[in-house]
Amino acid sequence: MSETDKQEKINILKDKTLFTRLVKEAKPVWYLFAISLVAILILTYAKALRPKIISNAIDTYIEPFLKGNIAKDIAKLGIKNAAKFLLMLLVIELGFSCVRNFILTYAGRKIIYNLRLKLFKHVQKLPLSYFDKTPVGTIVTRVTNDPSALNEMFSSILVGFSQNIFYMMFILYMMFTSDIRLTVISILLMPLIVVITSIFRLKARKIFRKARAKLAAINAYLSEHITGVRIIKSFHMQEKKIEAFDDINKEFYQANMSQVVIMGIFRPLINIIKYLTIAILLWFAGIRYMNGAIEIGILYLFISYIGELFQPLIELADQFNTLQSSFAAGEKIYTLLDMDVEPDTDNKFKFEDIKGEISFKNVWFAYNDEEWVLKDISFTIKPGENVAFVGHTGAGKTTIISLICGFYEIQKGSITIDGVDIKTIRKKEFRRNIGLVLQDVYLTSGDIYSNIKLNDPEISNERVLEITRYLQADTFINELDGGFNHKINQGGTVLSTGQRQLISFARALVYDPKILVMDEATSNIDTQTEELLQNALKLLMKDRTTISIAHRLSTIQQSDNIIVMHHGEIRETGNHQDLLNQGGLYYQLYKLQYNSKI
Amino acid sequence: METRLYKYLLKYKYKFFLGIIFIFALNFLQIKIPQIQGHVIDLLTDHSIDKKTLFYYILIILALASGTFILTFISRLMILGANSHFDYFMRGKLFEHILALSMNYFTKNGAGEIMALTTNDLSQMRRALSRGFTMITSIIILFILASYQMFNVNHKLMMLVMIPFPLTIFIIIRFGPVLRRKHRIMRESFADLTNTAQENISAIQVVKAFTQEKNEVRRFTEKNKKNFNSHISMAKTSSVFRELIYLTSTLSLFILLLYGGNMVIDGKITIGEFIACNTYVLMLIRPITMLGMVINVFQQSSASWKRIAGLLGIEIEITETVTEEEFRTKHKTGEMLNGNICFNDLSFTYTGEPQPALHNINLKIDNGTSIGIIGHIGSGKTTLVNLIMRLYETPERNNLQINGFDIKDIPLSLLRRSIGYVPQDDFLFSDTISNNIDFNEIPLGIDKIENAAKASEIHESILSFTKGYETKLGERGVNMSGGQKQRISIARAIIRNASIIILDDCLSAVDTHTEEKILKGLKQYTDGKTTIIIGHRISTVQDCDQIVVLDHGTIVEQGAHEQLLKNNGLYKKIFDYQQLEEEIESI
Repeated sequence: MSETDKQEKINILKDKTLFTRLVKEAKPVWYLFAISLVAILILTYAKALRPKIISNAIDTYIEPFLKGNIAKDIAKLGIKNAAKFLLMLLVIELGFSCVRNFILTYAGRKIIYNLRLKLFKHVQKLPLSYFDKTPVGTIVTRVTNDPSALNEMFSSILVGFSQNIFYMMFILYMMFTSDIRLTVISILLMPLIVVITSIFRLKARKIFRKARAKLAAINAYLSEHITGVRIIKSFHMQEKKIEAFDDINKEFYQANMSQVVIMGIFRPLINIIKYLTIAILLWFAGIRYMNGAIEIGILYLFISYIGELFQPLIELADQFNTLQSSFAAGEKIYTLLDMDVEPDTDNKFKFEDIKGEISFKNVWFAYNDEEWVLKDISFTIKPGENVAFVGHTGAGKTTIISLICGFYEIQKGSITIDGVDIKTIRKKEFRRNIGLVLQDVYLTSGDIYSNIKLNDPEISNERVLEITRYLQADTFINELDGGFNHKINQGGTVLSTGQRQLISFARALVYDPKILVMDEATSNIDTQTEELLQNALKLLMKDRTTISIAHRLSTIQQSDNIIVMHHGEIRETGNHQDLLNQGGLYYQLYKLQYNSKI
Repeated sequence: METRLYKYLLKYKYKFFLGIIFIFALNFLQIKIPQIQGHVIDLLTDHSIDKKTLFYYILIILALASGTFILTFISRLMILGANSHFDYFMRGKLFEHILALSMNYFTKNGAGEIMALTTNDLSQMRRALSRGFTMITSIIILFILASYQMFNVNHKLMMLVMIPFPLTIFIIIRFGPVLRRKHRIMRESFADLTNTAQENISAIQVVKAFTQEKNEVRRFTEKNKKNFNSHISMAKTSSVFRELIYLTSTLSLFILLLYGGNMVIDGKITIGEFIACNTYVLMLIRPITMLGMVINVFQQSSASWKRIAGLLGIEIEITETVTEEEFRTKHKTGEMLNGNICFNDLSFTYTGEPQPALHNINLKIDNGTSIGIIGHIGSGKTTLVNLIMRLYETPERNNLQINGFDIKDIPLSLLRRSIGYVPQDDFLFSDTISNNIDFNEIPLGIDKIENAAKASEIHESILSFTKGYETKLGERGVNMSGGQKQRISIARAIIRNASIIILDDCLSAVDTHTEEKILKGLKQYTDGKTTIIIGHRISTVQDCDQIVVLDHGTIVEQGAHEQLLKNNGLYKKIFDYQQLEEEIESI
């Protein structure tokens, strides 16, 4: 399957289920959230107290002094003390804000850290069929980016939510204890804000969705036309396509503009309600002041609080939106986590002194439903035997190799190693005894050592040196810049196909496996390396059961047994000379492959 | 193309200018409101106000508020509108530029990267130019206006109260490098983490086969931890940074209470003025604390623009010297060129490739004849076609002549109108069938579409769809087989009735029997036209007037089918191999 055909399905979860699952992720760090909640309580209280201090200073010192009720130095002292108290509050606020910020980031990051690890561990256990169906990029995004999207939810939304609610409650409390009537007037228009906000949210969401859809259309158009750019150019349709693109682009622009208009009305509208409230307040408070019912500081207090009271309301609506996008990431994450892992058993069985006999009994296998790739395959490979599989493209050779490694589950029949059905033992146990050499050698970033050791700490550098010397691969490695410490960059590597093969031989050999499974490289290999490979192969196969998909004539000729496959069935078996003499399919394939050499 | 941002922004200079004017005006109105509140308070404390005057002031406040409402709306419309248009304009420009680039660009850059530019990077630019721009101008204007108002109240008080704000700027500048460094470490550790995951997943088969899951988890944990630590280290600095900015700006409140309070007592300012100043300070705090964020947005957008400019800066290789009209009057050609094609010692190397794709090609294709090109994958067959369609530039003048003209001199529209091309992959657009067939600058109409469909034997199948020719491809339920798509793509080429027809290995997906049928059907349309048939199967090319065998970019054999078989060279070898393969397949 090509990378572009791969797709993934996302499970839709209920918001409630999703939310509970996400909250569960926070359980290990609940105490951090508890601490930050306390910090938030204190700091929002301190913040809400600020205007109160100034209003008190006005009402207890400034006003009385102006009315001639208290002496100048008492008033000045009072103001000084109030200012000191304010400074103290600011410092407290600063301290607790720092604590809150740090603890929240810590908690959020810890959750992300755990979640990523959980995802990665889970991915390691997924069956190979999952990787066949899902593009690498998508899996990487699931493990790395999607948890990041959740960070918002844990460290700002949930807390921002509570912070806004606390703050509003404290402000209302302060207002209420100062003057009940003015409080009622101040919150008179609040329902209006809630109504306007929800109406605009609805409208904005609609337009937002429209803009999103248009953007998706732009992306789809671009993707299609960049893929088909050859056709566009060949038919000289650039101008027409530019016009067509302009139509879609313009639609997106218009959607954006309606967003600008909607939001352009919404924000100032909230503002105007704020001023309307202030105006009403000023009217009633003014009259109450004239009647001597309130002091001037109270008026100040309410004017200050009204400005503050509106902000959390607007933010609450914003936070709800972000929550939605976190949910989307959560859905993707749980789709992956809910995926079934590779079937495995708990059987603690261990091979003692494995001999390496492999046998297939009436094996039927299909990647999808009933499209059989292997039909009733049976064969036995004796310990130490050397068997080559040959066949035309699509004969099922690679599948056999994958099945021996237990990458896929067979539908019918059984596969045994030393007479033990591999279904009944742990995958780890039999894979440990198999050395796999693949056609395309995937090199990871790192040096030669780590590429041979595959980052396994149990293998020493000495072992690597020993093995490479044994395979005579040390010569070319030493010639590399930096020798065994040569850094391999993904993509831009200098190693030839043959050299990569040698690395992969060494990779298999460091574990000294009893069974060697090999898919030979098909690409042209220069004669010098070819010779090296030949020798290495001989050493590699010594005293081991070897199963190979052979492309090289020499490998085939050395085999004890050749199994010829065709359309998922075994057609012929025997050694090279016998099969040639038979003049059947093997003979034909031989001619096809080595046409020039006949 | 132009890569300097300001050149594009100049287009919106009036809108930006008006936007700034309106921002100024609205802030001017907004800052008057606290002043009036203060005035009312003073009148109240002096007991020199009656209900009527109070009502009058309240009306003024409401009028000012309505003023800000309208001005905010207009200023947003100006600035955000200009940005939306910039976004739209740039996206169109980018698309236009991309289409003008030679195929070289597309072999190196995938659709994903281009889409990232036109969506992520452009929206990043929009964010910076709208939110960033409005905030910066607002902060500056508000700062000036608030200072002015306070100055009018008492210049000493203004100085004292404003001290913390420059201090905030100082903190932002001081913390800048540290934050940037930590941010970089965060990004790098994330990239590292992504790479580790990427490597692991790409090599999952090896990991499983060698039972390295545990080691891989350990390696991932290491990177994960590093990433975690980088975030924690960032959190330590940034949480202090953020709160420090906040504290410094709120310090103004403390100074105001201390000095302002005393000034009221000393009778230097009134209580109403004191309260008004308080409101000014509160108005300033919120935007100032967001300054750090704004700077961040600007930094990101500059990286985005660098990427966009990188694309815009790629030079357009394939250019025209004259317009089609001029060319046609000068050379007295018709709507189409004739099909004489001549390669003169042409060698061609793709940019960045070490080996040339074509070596010293000398080939003459006479008008109205057919030519078959055969060879292994990578032998240079498609490169020949790429050059004839001028999808890539020929290295030297007169390397390739069509109708006797150097290909570099022929206007692209005339050249490509003269060619009917059937590509290797049956790429169709998600558009109606009729639009897919009639893929021409000037539509040819339904009659010709139907004729072309009939000729490529797809007419009946199209009619079997409920919407017939108006069926949209790629929609749910519309599934076309590879063979059907192939025929539509053939119809798309023959409807043009061009003098040169190119079949680029387009029949490799169908079996030899179908291939024969299609080729036979095409015969009447290709008669009298230069026909270039590319294939890797002998059966595809065997009936051509002449056959060229390519190997590693060189013409190794040339001649008719029978003659080439007799030659006993590469052609014969391919022939034998394919015969064998067919035998094996039929077992």
